[in-house]
Amino acid sequence: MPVKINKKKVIEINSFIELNKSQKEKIKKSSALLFNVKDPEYLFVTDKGLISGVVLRFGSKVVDLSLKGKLINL
Amino acid sequence: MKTKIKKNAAGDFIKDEGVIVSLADGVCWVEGLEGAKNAEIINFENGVTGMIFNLESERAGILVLNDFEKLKRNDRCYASGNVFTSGVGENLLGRVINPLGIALDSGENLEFKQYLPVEKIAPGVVERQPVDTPLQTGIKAVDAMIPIGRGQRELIIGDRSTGKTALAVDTIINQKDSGVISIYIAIGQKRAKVAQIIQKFKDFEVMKNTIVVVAGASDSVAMRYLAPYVGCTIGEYFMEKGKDVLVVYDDLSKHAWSYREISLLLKRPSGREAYPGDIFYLHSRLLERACRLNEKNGGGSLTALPIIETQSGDVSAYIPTNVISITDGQIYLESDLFFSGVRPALNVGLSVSRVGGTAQNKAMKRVAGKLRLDLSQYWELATFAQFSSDLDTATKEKIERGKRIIEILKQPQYEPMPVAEEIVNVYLATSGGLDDVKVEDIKKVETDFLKFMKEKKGKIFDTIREKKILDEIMEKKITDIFTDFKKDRNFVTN
Repeated sequence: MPVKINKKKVIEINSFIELNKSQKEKIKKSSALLFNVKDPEYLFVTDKGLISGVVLRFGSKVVDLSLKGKLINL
Repeated sequence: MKTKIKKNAAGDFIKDEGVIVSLADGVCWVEGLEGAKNAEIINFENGVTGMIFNLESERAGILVLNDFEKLKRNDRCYASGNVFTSGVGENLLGRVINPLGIALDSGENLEFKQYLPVEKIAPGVVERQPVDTPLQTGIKAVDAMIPIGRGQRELIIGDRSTGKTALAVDTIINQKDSGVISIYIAIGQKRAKVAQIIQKFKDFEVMKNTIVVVAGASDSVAMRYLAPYVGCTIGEYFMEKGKDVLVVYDDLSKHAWSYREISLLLKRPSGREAYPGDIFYLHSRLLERACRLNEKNGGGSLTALPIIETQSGDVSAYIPTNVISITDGQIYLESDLFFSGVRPALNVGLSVSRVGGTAQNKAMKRVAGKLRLDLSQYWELATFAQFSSDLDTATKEKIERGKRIIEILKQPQYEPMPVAEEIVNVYLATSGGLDDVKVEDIKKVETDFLKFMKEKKGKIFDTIREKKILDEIMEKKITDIFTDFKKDRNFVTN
């Protein structure tokens, strides 16, 4: 899927399983800190292709913590 | 502080991602890569590497460096944060590599301890010193009339098959024992031709202090574009270590073509002869890196011999005029001279060395002072003499002298000459020593006399080599020896 340049401050959180409320809150805090953004919007997406783990996207910046990403790097 | 460390550690995981939206002919367009820098290296998922060439608001134009055919639309890529670097080191000596530092010879794989960026701003005026040491090419005509100094940029220009590469190769061969490191960069040439050149380097045992960078005609446009910068970077590594380096760019016409190709593919606006607007900067930033560093900076030098191929002798085309204006002089080789047997086919009138004069060997300067004038007069009178049968004695003498000078300056390929022998040779021609020898005997006289001198009077060569001067006593000595030699061997006509 093409990466579109993110004009709005939206952090996209792709996860293998659907996250519960507390997990969402935890990941929101850490992702905002990670990308150094103030008051971003969050978009939660479930992606079964990740095998396991989570992928965070902010604009073209990506933090790939999925098993799929690790396997690709191997 | 704790937060900062945490952030930095996490920051290492953040990758700047892009995705290919279109690709063709060795370049691709990528969306994303918001934080990308100009000339940054981009890593694609399948091990392919590219370099950012165009940065636009929504996308980036990327020059693919290897395995272009592996890429497809929607492939992801990541910015590396680094610009293109070249591996450098002593282990490159004697090797043949491509611009990515991959060995092309049968030797072991190259591993580098140091990498340097290929694009670098040339040393400033404060770090430089004037060109004052000669770089002997071993070619009589060049060393006598168009002397090249260490740190100079001397263009070799001429039509196809006029001996441009031969001149550069001879110069490299002549560096066998001079301590100069040679780098030969083949850009867009046939691999068979490059293989022949490498074989010659091996035959003359100069490969040990030579590096060959090859981006052949079948290599990607990116390789051809990068080759001279990589070669120059390797040269600078040695120069900064205080060594003298000779870099031959063979040739920059093809390099300009490759840059034109890239620019047109990336849809940059084209100008004269369809070259992009910054084609001058392409070569000026490369050749400006040739210099002689001052003692504080190691005293090394990088001499550049760029080669330009003209079409039907047209030196007023775009790229030739650009490179002529950038360099410190040019050696102009002419096809008419080449096919009439004058080899090297040097056009004395159009060839010039703007800074080499100060670096010229003093002995050579003394004997070659009149050479250019004698030759110019000869060419002028020779044309005039065709229409007139009655010539006065002075004119006849000048024509005869000119004929002999031309003969003595002829030199076969792969036979560079030591400087002391060059000086004696040129002295014989300019002093009139050869005036009573038949033109057809000149080559034999030259060979036999040098052989005789080496065997019986080798001390004279040693003195010229060491003292680098040729005083009147020495001149008289040589004249006397030569007069006796001519008489002994019956070379005198009257």
